[in-house]
Amino acid sequence: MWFRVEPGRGVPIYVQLMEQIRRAVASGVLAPGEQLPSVRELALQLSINPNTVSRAYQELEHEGIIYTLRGRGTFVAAPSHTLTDRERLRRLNEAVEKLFVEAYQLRCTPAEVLAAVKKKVAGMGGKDTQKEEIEHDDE
Amino acid sequence: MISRPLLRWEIRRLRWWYYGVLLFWLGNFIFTLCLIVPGQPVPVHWEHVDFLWFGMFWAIFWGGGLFVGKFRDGTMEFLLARPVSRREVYHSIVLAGGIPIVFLVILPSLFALTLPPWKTSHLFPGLLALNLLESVWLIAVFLLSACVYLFTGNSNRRYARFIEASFIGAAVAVLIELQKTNLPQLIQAHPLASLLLSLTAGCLFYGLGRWRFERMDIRTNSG
Amino acid sequence: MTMSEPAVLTRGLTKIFGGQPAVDGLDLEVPRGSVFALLGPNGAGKTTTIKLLLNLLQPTDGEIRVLGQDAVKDSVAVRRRVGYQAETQRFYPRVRVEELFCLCKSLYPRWNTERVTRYCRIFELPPHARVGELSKGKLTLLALVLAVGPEPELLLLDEPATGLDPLRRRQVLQLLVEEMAGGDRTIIISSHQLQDVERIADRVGFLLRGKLILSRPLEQLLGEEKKVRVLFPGSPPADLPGWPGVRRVAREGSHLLISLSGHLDEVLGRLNRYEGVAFEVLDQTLEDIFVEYAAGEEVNREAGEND
Repeated sequence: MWFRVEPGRGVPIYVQLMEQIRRAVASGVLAPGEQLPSVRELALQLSINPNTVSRAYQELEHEGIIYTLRGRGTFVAAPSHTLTDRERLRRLNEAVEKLFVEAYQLRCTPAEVLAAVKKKVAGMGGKDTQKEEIEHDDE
Repeated sequence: MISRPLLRWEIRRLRWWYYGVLLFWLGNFIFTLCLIVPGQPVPVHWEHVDFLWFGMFWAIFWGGGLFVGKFRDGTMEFLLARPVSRREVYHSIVLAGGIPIVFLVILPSLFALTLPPWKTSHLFPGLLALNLLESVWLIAVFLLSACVYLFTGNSNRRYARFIEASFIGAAVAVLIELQKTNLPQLIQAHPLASLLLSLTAGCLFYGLGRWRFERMDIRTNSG
Repeated sequence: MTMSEPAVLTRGLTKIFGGQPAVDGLDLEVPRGSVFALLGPNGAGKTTTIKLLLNLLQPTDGEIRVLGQDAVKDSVAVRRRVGYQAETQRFYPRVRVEELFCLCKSLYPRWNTERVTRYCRIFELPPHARVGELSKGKLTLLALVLAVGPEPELLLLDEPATGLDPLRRRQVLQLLVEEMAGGDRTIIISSHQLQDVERIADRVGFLLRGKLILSRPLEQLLGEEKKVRVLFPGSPPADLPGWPGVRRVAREGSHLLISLSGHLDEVLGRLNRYEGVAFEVLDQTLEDIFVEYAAGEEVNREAGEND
């Protein structure tokens, strides 16, 4: 697999690994049911501590993104519907809050933020009506 | 007490010295045999051959030297990081180093032994006794030298170098003075006193050296 | 074998050389099966600590337990289970590599010949070469192979990257990852290669002038140590240095640079209450943290803080 971790970025390695796996799953590069490398394999491949890989896998499993079958391996989970709409929205709002803190620190204008979000949303493949709504939101 | 692999290892480190002494023995044996003509007197007078002085110098320089070398080049640190006790290391170094020295001083008896018995049998028991008594002294000196080094050589304090140099200087001076007296004859005259004195000295220096070695800090000196 | 007993446990460990403490009241705890990075500036006492674990040095005071055994009284038994890679690799210049392996094989209860041969091949260590002929990098690699050969439960590595090029450093990392994956191995590394340390360490301990000024899981350390660059419109609050988590406040032109150990959200919250304040959170790499602590600032917390 093609994961990369960079020490010296100030971000813990297990977090970097989690981000990459999440992104891979979200963009479809990792399909549901696909097997991930074992803890040992990935640790050797990336030259990192197996505990770090373990930790990343555990956290992702906790989030429901992957699951482990004892003796068989670790696999990508199918998108789950177990979270309530309220929980989903709550988590989304948390992420949005983080986005705004970052934007504030970077002293971005609302237009810049909106443009960035629009770009990402366009790639999400949502319903056409949603897309239109956003275009109309442009001040 | 003693680690056999380690002892073999130390002897192996010193093998050229062992070969040297053995070669010397063999060479002399062949040389004498070539010269022996039956019926004629033995060309070498074994009762006058004595390696005591040579052995003393060797004992003094090796006593400290075997330890110095190991501390200086990091070998001691390497050895003591292995699962061997300090006592085992001390014993292997002392044994591996002491054997060739003892062997050297016993050579005259061995030479006498290897000659046709009818020429030298009258010499043999007396010579062997003398050589053995001498070898105990040599071991005592060897252990003394090791002891001095262990107390001063691995220290960075200024006076350590001074003591080391003084010891060597004093030892050489004492030897030169003793050389004037006929020590082998003295030993032969008072064998029991010699044995007791040398054994006591030997045990004392062995004990001190080992005590110090078991407690010292192992630091690799760079020079 | 008690799995709960830490791999290394020291209480009040002190070593004084000529009146100066090289190690001062060290309370170190290294859990089994973890990789512990011992960091600190040169002369901080890292090598001294490692040597004390092996009884190469006698402690002036304090107690040391390694793998559940007293490091002083049972030092031989301890060394049977511990592999050591020294920082300075000079020894036995005229001895051949294979002879060294032979010696170690005869001294240790276990010796993994197959693994040693494999590493020699990977590192290109010729078995017939004499130790004195090897380059500095090869000596480091040889010392590493000698350390892992007896399949030790604890590995003590003092500067394992000395004289190594990037390829070899990566190979060494792989070797260590393999060692980790192979069971309940504990590794203590003292290294200045912080990028490598960040890859494999579980826990980091920082030694400064013989004292352990912090001991924390790596992720916690990276997560808690932050710097915040702030620009106050007016004058900064006088009690700023006393805010929770604030270790140091430095001036950088018109900005203030606040060094934080945890409490980031709280501090940001407080900063937000000031009209017109602008701030930026700076993640700290392990190197940044090292520099910060090595500059001598001591943490206002208890040394040896655990997670």
